[in-house]
Amino acid sequence: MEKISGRIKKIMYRERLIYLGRTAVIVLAAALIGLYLNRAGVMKENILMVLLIGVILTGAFTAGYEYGVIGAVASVLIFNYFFTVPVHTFAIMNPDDVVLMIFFLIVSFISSAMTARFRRQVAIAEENERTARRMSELSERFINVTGTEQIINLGLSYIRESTGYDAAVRLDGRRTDERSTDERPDTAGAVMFPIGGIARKTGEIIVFTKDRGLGAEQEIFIRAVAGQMGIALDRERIYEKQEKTKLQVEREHLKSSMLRSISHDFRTPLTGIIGDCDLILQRHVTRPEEQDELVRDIREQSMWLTRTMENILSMTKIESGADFISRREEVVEDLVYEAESHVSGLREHRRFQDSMPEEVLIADVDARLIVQVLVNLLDNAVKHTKENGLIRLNVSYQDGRAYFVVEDNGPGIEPGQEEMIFGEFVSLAGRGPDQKHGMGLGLAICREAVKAHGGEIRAENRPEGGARFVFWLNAQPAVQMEEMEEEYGGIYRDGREADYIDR
Amino acid sequence: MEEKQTILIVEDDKYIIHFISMSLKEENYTFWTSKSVKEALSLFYANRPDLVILDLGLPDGDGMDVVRNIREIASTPIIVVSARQEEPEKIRLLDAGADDYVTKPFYMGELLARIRAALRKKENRPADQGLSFTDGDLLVDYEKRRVEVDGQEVHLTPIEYKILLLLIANRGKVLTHHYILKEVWGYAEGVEAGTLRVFMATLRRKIEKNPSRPQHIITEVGVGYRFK
Repeated sequence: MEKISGRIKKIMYRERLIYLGRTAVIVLAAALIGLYLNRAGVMKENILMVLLIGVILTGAFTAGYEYGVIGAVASVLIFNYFFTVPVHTFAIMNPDDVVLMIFFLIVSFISSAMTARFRRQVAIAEENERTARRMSELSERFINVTGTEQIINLGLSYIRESTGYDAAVRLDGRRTDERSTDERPDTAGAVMFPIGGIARKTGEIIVFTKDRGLGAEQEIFIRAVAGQMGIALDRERIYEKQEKTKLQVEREHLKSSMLRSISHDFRTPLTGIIGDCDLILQRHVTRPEEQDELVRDIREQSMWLTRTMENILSMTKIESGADFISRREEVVEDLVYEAESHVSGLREHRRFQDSMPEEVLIADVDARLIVQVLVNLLDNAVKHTKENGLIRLNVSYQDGRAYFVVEDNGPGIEPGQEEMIFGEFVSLAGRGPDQKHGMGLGLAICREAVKAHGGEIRAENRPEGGARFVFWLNAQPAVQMEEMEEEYGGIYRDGREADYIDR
Repeated sequence: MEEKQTILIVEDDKYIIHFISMSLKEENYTFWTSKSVKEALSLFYANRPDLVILDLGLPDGDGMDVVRNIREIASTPIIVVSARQEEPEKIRLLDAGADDYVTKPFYMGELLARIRAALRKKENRPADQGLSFTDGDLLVDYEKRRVEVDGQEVHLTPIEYKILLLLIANRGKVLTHHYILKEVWGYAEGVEAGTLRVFMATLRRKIEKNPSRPQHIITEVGVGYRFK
């Protein structure tokens, strides 16, 4: 603190010396010109005029009233010494000279006072202009900026530019946005300015002045920044709210169209089931094999309803947001085997092969959703392959990701439809047995579920024919058993070599 | 099978009762049906069935009460049948003492298999005190602490062996992750969630011929494990 005030004092001292030097130079120059004129026979009254010009010039080239006064007094002394009788003394013989000198002093004082005031006013006007320009620039810049982060950064950079102080913004109901991220500066020795919103205070600017204080103008400027920031932040908030409402409306719309579509799609299999039951009850079909066929139909349609219901449930779960996805560390192969057991006809009516990576993979996922994804993909493969068709599920690990590949040798995906098939309610015009139930919710769920886990899914055709679905999830290989046993307090045993019985 | 085994069905939906009872009749079980908590408990006290099939949503209370009441006096196997499929719900029930959990919709074949497993557990209890255990191609020699699959010895780490014994001792019953952690490690807190799952995955790779179609250890995803 003392160091700083010392430095300021030093700067001011040097400035004063410069001004004093200028005063001396001007006054001496005027005196020399006076001496020259005097030798040329010019009257002393005129020489006094020359000296007066010197004093006025002093006022113009220095800042402050005092230099003019110093110059005037020095000029009078010079005049008295060099130009009044008796020359080369400070004595005065002629009373006229006294009057002359008094008037000289009065005129000099008035003129230097006026020059000083004029200078001050010019300085103020300049400062005002600068401030005004900065303000207008400020408001203009804030108009063009979007995003809370950017608005805050802009405000803070303005404050730093104009005051030299670091600042931070604390928004109500949000975490602090620190300018200097490494340490949280203490608010001691800081000045707070409220950021006003339309209805209420939105937050505050904290200026870290370190007790140096703020000038009135700096304060005004910071207040202006706070005001602009408040307006911009309010604008941002309103915009966000509007976007959210728009999204909500869209979601509502989607939901109602989904409900409509679901009830439509449920009607068909239900009609089928009721019809089949009636046929059996009314003994229209008597041959046992025909009856069996009807019962099988009923079962198939009920299974379809079950699956669809499961999908709808998953969809609502994903759509209600990330909070409803309960992630836990799961072993990837558990999920795969679970999914395989849920796909009917996968092993019985298709040639199914699966392969797992050497290492045990662990992924942080919602088990039910990922099982659903795999079930849907496998179901899809079963649906699009003929009896005894080939279906392969391959899991591999690479660079922190578990890749799941489901491929079949069915008719494949219609070219250009690779993206489309993941849309809701889209179903390909294939020739599968279930094709009358057109709700392609299954793949839409796959995409949403994988996306919700931070992964990606894509579909493509295999060069040798058939469809291939690939998706990845973040995963990592489990720590080796032996290491874990040590870590968790098991007694170390000779069984160092891993004895995998199969594969 | 001299004596018919008895089952108590607690369920308030007449369609479900109908098809379960038809299947049970087919399989030669004796059974009673009840549609409320009160009725279920009085039937249980009166007849002491060998197994209980329990629906959760009952008109006069929660199936949970039935589990607690039965567990106070008996260790009769309880298989819960419910439309609620949230994992925490299942875990809560299993920790309260239920043996198994089947979610609607289920297939009768699956339910019958679980009934058989649960009843077998009851029968096998005394035999477990023996010196060895066999199940299909799996042989566990308790004395030599030796595990064989298809006549070939398999090296299990101490923890894997402990888990296997625990599962065998509770065969037919679903053991929750929490329960296994507590039994094997002695504490459940502080052990990472994925740890047990990794142990199970490697254990299964060691003793199952085809891990994708396990013969011994069944994974109940999100809930726990069951020895078939």
